[in-house]
Amino acid sequence: MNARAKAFFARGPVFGLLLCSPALLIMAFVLIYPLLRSISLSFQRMNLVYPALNDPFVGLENYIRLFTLEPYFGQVLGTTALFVIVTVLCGFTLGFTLALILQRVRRTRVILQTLFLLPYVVPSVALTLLWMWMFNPSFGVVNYVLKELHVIEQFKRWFVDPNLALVPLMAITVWKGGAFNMIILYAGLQNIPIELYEAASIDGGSALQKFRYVTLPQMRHVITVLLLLSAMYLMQFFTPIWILTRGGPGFSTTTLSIYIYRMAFERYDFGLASALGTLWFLFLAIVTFVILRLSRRRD
Amino acid sequence: MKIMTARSMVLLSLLSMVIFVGASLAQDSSEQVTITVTQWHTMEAQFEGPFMEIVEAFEAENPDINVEVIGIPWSDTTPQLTVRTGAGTPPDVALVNSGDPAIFAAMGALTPIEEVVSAETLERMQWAKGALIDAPSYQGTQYGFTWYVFTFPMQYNKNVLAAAGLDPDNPPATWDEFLDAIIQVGNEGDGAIGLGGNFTQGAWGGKFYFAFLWAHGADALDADGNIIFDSPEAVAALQELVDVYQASPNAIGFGTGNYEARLGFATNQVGFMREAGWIRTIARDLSGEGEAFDDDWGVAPWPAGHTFTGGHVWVVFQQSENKEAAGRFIEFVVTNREMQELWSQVFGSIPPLPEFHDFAMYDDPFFDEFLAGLANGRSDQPHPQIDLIATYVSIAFTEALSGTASPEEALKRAANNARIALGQPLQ
Repeated sequence: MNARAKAFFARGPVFGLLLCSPALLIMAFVLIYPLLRSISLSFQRMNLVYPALNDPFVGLENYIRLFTLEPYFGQVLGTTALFVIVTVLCGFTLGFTLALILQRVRRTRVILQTLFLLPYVVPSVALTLLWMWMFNPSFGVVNYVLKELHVIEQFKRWFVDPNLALVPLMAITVWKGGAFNMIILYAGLQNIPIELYEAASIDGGSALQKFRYVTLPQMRHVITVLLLLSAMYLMQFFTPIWILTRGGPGFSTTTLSIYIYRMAFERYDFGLASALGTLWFLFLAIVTFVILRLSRRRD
Repeated sequence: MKIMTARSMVLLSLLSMVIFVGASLAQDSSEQVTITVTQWHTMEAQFEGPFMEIVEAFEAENPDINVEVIGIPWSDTTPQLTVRTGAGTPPDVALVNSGDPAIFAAMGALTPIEEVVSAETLERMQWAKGALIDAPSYQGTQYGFTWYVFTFPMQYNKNVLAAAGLDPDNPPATWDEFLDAIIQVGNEGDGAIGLGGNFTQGAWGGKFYFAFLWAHGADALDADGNIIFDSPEAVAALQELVDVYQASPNAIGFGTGNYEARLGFATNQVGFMREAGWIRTIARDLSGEGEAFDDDWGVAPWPAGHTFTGGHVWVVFQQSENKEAAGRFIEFVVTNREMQELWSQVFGSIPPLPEFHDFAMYDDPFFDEFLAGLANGRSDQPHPQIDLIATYVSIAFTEALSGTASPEEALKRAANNARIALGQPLQ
């Protein structure tokens, strides 16, 4: 290889691509191929249990079916929206409160930080099983405490009442998500220049005014990105819901990610599940795009 | 002596390797076949050893067959096998629930069992046709070969019955007596629950609710596979259960599953249960009293006139290139007396062949009701999507019991939603 060719490989895009190729190949295999396959399946009638009825191309039939025939689709969308909005907002509020507490305290900071982080570091499955027993209708501690406090008259059957089943799920999610939010928000709070607070003090600003006019504006970008990331993460939330309720009772705790799984592995209707997955992917892609734009603007 | 060059040495090594590999392959292909067998017992510590003992005994008796055992957790078996079958890579043999052959048969993936096991063995299973022949069949063809079965008569806790003012030695014999008894236990207070069981959502909850439909002559499906669980009989069955629940919210363990039921039964909080023979070991463990707890409870016929039966069956996939070997394996496991005795003792199940019911363990009167239940046994209807249908039944029952819909509305809505999922006309 002559000097010019060596220089081309060293500086040109080919060399960079060559270096990246192992990662690109893995990405193509585990991400891009399944994605394309899923999109192609969404235009097919593909039920594993009834292969005789399968059709390699049915156009938009699966998409039309989702919006016109599937009785639970609307309910699932509503449940997903409710779950995401409530858990994102409550998790954010909890995380911000904990981060502000950490910022204020000095001596007990390390202890509190460790305590607040515990829900985040405990494995999701273990945490979920713990909460499952806490909400047990016969001998769960939640029922016991609520009854002792006269909040409820009788033990509640949390996971079989369609009106209640989402509550424990949200509680777990907020508890775990709050810890993660705290980490991000606390890091953000550390980056606010102390001079701004000093200037506000000289101007006679109260604690509330400092929070309103210094902390919040300085944290705006962190908060925006955190809220969007949390929303995106919770839209795909699966494990605790599946362990606790499997989307039930009925479809009352079925969010979109659970619905896709149920469609594929309860009904074995991979065409319909893929159509739903494709729509979901498009929606999440838009959210990701928004997050990236916001991040760039911040940079 | 001429010294061998490096090139000659490499060539000689390569030649030796080719000859060695070729010879090994030739030996394998002419003398031994390998069959792949999926099951879940090797995923459970207490059953892995005995299961492998059975496999080794088979291999010792059949040196021309090598069994490659693949473990899949029980809860993942159906979806994993369905996906593997859909992808064209099923195992040779699989252990599945007795109703599941319908799924794979509908996919055109199973070998009719009469093609791989002897007609004589199948004939010996005719004595309990419902549980052993009909349950693992689909559209008139038997695809599953029953390894063992279990029956689910009624268990009653004598201490709970006595505390509720019921005769602990005379459990209810009719359906009406049974419903009255669970209400009475539920009203006793102190957290006592009348009937414990799988009162949860999902397919297994739905299958537990089938018992209430069957008690009223209702069913989830008709003989042609049409959804009928919104029939007037089904509405009456659900209405009856709602009435019981309203008469006493503790008459049934609504919202709790099998574990809570077993724990409650073993700690004298649950009056009645419907479990298989394995319950004795579990109750002894959970009660903390060991064998002494045996005196505190009894077994009686399920008061609805039939006994629910389930089982685990072997299926041989159509794609298998070693069907003959697969057939020999499953026939050995089912018909070998020594192996069946080993497994019955370990698992507390019942062998399908009646000549094995003379095992010493069955001299124990505890097993009388479990054995007797086979003769009038009733299993879930074989349908490729019975789990999905059961899920919709559980949705209707849960809605009605939690008061969010009337029994008629709940059943009608769930049945029509099931019809949509199955592509059947709405009613």
